[in-house]
Amino acid sequence: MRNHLVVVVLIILLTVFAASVVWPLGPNYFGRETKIHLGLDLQGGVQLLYKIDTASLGNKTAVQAQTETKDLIERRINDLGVSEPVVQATRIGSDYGVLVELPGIKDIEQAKSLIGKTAQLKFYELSGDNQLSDTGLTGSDVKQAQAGADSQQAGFSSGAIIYLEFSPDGAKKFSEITKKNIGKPIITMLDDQVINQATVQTQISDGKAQIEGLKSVKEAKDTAQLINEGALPAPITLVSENEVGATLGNEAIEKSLVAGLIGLFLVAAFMIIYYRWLGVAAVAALTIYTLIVVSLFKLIPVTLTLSGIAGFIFSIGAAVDANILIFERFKEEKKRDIPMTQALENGFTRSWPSIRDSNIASLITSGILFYMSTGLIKGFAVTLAIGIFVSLFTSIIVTRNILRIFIKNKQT
Amino acid sequence: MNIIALRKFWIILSVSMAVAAILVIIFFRPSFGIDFTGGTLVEIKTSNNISVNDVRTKIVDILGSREVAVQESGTNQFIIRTKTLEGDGYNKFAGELDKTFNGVTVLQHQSIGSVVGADLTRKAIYAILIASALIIIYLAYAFRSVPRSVSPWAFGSIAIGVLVHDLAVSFAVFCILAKIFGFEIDSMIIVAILTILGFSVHDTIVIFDRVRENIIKNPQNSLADNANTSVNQTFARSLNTSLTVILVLVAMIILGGSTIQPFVIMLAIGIAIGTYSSIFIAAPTLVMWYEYLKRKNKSSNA
Repeated sequence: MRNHLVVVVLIILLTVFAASVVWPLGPNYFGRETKIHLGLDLQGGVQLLYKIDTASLGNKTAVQAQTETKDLIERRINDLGVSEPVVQATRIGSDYGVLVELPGIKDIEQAKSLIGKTAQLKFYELSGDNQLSDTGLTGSDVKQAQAGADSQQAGFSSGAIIYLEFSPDGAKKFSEITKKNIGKPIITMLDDQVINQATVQTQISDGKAQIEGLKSVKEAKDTAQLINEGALPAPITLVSENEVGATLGNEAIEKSLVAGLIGLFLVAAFMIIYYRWLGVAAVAALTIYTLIVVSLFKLIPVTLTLSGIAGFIFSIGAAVDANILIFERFKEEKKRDIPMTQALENGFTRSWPSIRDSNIASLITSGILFYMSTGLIKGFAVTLAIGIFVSLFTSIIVTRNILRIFIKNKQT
Repeated sequence: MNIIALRKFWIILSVSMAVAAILVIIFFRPSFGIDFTGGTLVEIKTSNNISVNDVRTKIVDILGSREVAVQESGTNQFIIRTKTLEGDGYNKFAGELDKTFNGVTVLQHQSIGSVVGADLTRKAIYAILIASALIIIYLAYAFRSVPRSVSPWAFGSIAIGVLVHDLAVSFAVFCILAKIFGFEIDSMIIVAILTILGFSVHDTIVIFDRVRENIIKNPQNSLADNANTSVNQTFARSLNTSLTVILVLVAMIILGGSTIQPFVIMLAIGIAIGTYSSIFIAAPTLVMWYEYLKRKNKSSNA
């Protein structure tokens, strides 16, 4: 009996915690603002239009460059931790561009600086007349760039370092360049700015190099990531920046939200009318379920789009279903001549295999969708998986303990 | 209620529905929306105060298509995304806009590429295929304790067969509605299909679980009897679960915003069909499969 009490107290504590996270003016946990992040379709965000400088393309066609730019920008946004962006190729008259939309982002300047960087890494040597001359070695010859901090250097510079490892081909080129330039400097430039200058001591044939002229470890990290992902095929310029509203229309979303709430009240009414006191327990359990899921959305945080909400609706369905499965089973067991408490325990243990198997199937689906897809399908998979885990917890732990208390009171 | 006794009827009905559905999909497939095809983006500034919803309604009237997305981008400033409009088509549209809203300034005009590329769609299809295979394997494992005469592989394979039926029929119904109301396939329909997939498998498994329990508990009864008992025992649950979800969806269809209507309608259709199929297709097919295996074994032994 004491075990039950402990579980009930834990459930109450968890509920209070979840409610305080969900409450709009509630405290901030883990030192950051907790709020629901909504996607472009539900809340809008910032729209950035970039034009691709097609004059400096080299041997690529404009369309190829556009596709590459679009993919790279998507990856860079992903690194920012912004989920559910929309990146589209666009044509403005005869110009090629990329239209970027970012949902509710806090630091737009950081986003702009990361997206807009060409990230073209080039290595120069000095020609006979002390002019910079391109060695032909570029960022695309780098296999792996890794940021680090050199504590010995920290005294007179930031100490931030990027370790470069060249591809086999790049290593060969670098080896030849260093052999040719012993005693002479090699200058490294990122987007035409010098970020490193070092005098070659010996020929370097292991394909490793360092960049030391970075302002901070953070800059080193960002730059290493940009080098790893590759340079944009051509520089891009920001043409316009706009705050945009929800693509689904703010009014439509408000109406749908109210409609959804009315629907949920109807469900609660149905459960209570049809299952009476069991229904009351289910509504209590489902309220706790919703509080936990929404607080997880806030804490993780999950960027909610309509597809994420679809996953959430599905998981509510699964949670309601688990309760209905238990109650129907409980009613069946009650018909046999056994004590109420026994019928309740039987209802739970016998409905468990169905609840387990059906939810595991949904978890398999959401797991595969999560690993294999991007964008809106991933959003669906995330909310579905969270919802199902919580639903398994609430239907088995929460509903069960609420019902145990109910039955005890009914019997005394 | 003896549903299993009429199994031949249910299966013939369901197979013909699935075939009809595939024909409907082939002949009435709605066109893909701008999420897939790309289109034209126009940003306008109106001289009068107007709500984003009114802008949308009026543009739907001008174009005669629902495939329009309107976003606010400032005071009386709107970004409109439509199907590709070029040359004369664009000029005509700009003229109509100017007339309808009593003078608009076009701030920008560009053609935009797709949001949902071929890549995303292909990955989604692969993901569904892999998930289906894993579900079959998981169910074979979960149902390993059933008597040998009923193959554990039958459960997963039938669940996926039922899923194909559900997706085909609900998509076909959507195609017909799309023809009537002018819906198009947008990215949300893909998400609706994934949701239906989840519900369909979920519903089928609940019934199969009961069948498993009954054949282990009452091995003396025939599979047909056990299956029928199971369907009847889970009947109230099947109806009540679907009813609760459909209650929410119907509220959203009637009271919700027009932009998400096609999505919600597709979901409601899919869930209704998923419930039907879990009762009238899953268990009957299981019994037919078993009887077919028994007949085959007999004839090969003879």
